[in-house]
Amino acid sequence: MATERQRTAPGLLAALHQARLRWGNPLEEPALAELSAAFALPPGEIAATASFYHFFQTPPARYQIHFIDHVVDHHAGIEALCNRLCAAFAIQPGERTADAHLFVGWTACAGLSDQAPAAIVNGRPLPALTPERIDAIIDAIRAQIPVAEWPAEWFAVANPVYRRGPLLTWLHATPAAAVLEQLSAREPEAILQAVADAGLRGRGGAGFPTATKWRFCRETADPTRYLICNADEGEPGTFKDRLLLTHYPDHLFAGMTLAARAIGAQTAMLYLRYEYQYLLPKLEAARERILAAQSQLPPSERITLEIALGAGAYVCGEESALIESLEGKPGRPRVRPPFPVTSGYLGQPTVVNNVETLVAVAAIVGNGPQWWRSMGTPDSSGPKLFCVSGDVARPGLYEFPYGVALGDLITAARPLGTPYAIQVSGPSGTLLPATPEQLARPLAFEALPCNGTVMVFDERRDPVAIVRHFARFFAHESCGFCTPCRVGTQLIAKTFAKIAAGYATRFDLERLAPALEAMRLASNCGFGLSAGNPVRDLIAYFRPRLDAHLQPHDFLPAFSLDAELAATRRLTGRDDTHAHLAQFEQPEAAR
Amino acid sequence: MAPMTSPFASETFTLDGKPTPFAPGQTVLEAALAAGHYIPHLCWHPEMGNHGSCRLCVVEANGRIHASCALPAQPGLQVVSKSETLTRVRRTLLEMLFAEGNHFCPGCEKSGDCLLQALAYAHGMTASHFDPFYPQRRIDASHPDLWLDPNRCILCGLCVRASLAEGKEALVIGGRGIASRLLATSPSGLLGDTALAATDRAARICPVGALNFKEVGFASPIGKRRFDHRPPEAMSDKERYT
Amino acid sequence: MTATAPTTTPPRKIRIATASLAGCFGCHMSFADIDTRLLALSEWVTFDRSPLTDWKTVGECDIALIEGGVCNAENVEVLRAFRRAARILVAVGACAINGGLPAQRNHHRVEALLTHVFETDRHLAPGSRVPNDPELPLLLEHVHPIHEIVRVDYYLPGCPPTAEVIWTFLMDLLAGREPHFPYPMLRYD
Repeated sequence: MATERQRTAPGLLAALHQARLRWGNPLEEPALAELSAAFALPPGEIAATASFYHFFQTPPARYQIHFIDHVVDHHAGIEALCNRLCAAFAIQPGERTADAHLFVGWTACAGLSDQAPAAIVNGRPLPALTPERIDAIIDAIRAQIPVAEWPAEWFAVANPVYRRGPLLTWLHATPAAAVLEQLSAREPEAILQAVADAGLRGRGGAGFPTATKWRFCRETADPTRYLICNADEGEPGTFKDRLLLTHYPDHLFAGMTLAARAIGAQTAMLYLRYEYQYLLPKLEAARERILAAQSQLPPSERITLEIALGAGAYVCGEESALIESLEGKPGRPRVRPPFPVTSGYLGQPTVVNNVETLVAVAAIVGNGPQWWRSMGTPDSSGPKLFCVSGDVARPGLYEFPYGVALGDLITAARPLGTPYAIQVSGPSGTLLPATPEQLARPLAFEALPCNGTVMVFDERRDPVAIVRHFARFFAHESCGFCTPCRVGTQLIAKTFAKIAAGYATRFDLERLAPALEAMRLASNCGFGLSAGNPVRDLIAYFRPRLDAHLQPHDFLPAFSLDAELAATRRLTGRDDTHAHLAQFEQPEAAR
Repeated sequence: MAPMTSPFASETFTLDGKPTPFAPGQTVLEAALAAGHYIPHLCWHPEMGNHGSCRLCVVEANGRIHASCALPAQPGLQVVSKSETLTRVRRTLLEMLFAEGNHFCPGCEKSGDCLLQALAYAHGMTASHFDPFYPQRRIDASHPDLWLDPNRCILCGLCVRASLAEGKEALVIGGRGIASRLLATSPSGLLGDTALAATDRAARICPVGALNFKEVGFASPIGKRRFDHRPPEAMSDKERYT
Repeated sequence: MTATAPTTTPPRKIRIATASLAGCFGCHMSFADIDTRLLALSEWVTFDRSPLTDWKTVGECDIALIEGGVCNAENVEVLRAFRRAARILVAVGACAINGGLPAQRNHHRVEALLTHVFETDRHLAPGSRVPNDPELPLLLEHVHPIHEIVRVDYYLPGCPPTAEVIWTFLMDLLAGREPHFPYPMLRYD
């Protein structure tokens, strides 16, 4: 056996969600005993799973509000809004009021970058916040109005689409019923061949040829197989799956059913990120429709459809971590090989595909592979959904064929100022300067790979502060399994905290270099391998901006020396010269 | 599970320029160790197999970096286990572990018998260059025979795996990221309330000073301890592993 | 083993300064354990501020050997003075490298520790207060390895580093070699 993995406990996350609603804290008796008995697991195994997920850490409170700790939200003023709410109840972020009514905390990007600043209350989104809305929320909490009775418009998530192409046009024009008709009369090999002929590559970012992945799975000897739809859209700045899940769930389930049939799976599961749980009713309804549509098929050809909910862990977007999570375990990426296609969910051959990929499957089956291939580039076929956010007048969704120039996409979103830095593919992607050469680069797997996420920052923004946000994000979201990522993400975050404090020198970057190297070379999964990318790009493209933050000194402590004397000054009542320490000595001459 | 050169091993891969035989199913690390070619590692153990978390066993295979404990040996594979880059990465990983935990060797009874310390010596690590994290996790002394200092734990999962293999599941790794930590699986979360016994394999397998026996310590003087004179590389399996 | 000594006498004597911060002088004792080789060493080196000379200020020097971590304001001042004065600054011993035994107090708040020791411990006379004489350096909230305060060039681990380690290190430096410790010589305890 490859790891110390706990025993599988499918459904444990759902049970933990229910236990929280029922008992408050699932790690206290009687909830813990009940869960332990129900899953035949020692209490510590339940605790291990529960302690991994962000939203299981929230202390029980009637109102649990998480503000979005994402760079785009920060630029939109989220911190002031958070402070406004906290001040009204005399608490700090991360605290609960004395009467245990209200908890206020932070959470990672919740797929609302086009409606920043945003928050989540009791698992429901609060997009496009304003000071006035915060005041209204304060009033609602003071009046003890249940969240269920808050005005519906507070929760209204828009899905602005500013450019439709053939994919969205087809989705919009094709009623669910027409999609359902496709489900019969499709031979597995025909589906697989259509997807192969279309040249479809995974839309989640890695770009692996979908048909190749399917064939690996289909050719395994084990007949019990699984198809999993990855709806754990967690890459900060990404919200394209939100549109598809909101408006086209039938097409998605149809795509899942087709994919399951192509690989010979009996079960297809949708893993939905916790932050999208408000979409569950729509998704359940679509699931019912697809199940009903399958009822005309012989039982052996019917695909079981399931929906599972995450609990706040970015790393679960990594396919093997997602599988671990579905199995009721902490979402730590597996050590590979074996790969999921041979040993995935419950050890069975499993294919994990992204939402957009599976919707593309339905579109390819509906329109034929040539239709798909006629768009995009030879190596990156088809249309692509792009989410543009940040300093643009029209943050939202854009459908372009792969191969569109980065600059054309940004121009379509109408930059507010002059673009200065562009984050492509989220924090684990690439941070680029908005130079003509970079803006001319086509977005395609063979050129500038892009999962669909583009964040635009204009000259008002400091790339160093942007990277500091990303560093904090990675430090918070590292699963902690492997040494380089667990420790390295902390070292990066600490270095950028030191830079922000104004205590960093060139030496700090030199000292960080070996940590970045170890992360890039030795990490277990893509998270750790790419968590240093923002720092890499900052050094490569924005070195003068970074240097402007560095002190000319040989070296400075990461903490305030004088502050470290505060306690003993207070105790002794001293305030003489020896009771203080200067942080900055005169810069030394270069050695 | 112990790596053995199978008499049926007929195929070879290249390890640091030398043809190295392997049995079907063996990983590069297992085949290397069976051939007497040491690759540093902390979380792999002959009885427990691989874990993949410490990453010290990284090698370059066909131009890409892999953890050799998880890399299946294949005919024709070109593996480099010794290079300036790999040594530097391993030393950095060791420095990371030292910075992360509270590894105060002069006050640790495992000093001299500690695989982490020995590998740091073997990599010429004079100190961790990173600022120490000074973790403050609670020490668990609830067990009559054992005590746990999670501040020295390197999350290798050896005790977890050993206990699972013994059918007790006394320990598990919980939390996330830097807050990842060893948890006792009892309802109280205390080691003393688990079924873990001092005679268990899990109680004796800790490669560092995290899971220790009470009432023993500093049993061997400096100079007479396991790693005082020879690095793990120069040892047999029996000597090298706890 | 004995490292090879420099083959030629340097044009001028190498100037060494040493200090013990939050340490126990054990590293200095270990240095003294070089023993008769100190005589040989005096051929090549001369001492600036050090417990050996009892000078109170440090002048420009080549090598600063620092024992102990940084626990109070005076430690910071002394360490900075040594860093300014020395071309090469060396962390000597476990405490200088990771705070060592004194850093085990980092699990507690300094205020709670001092209050307990000087004011609330039941063995104290009533009215006892935390001493506030300006001569006494104020304690920092935490004990720090010296590399958290200044840039460090070399580390000599051990509690204490053996005389052999210190000798080897100095001989390597004097001979212009990158210091190297073979496996059995490298010790953290």
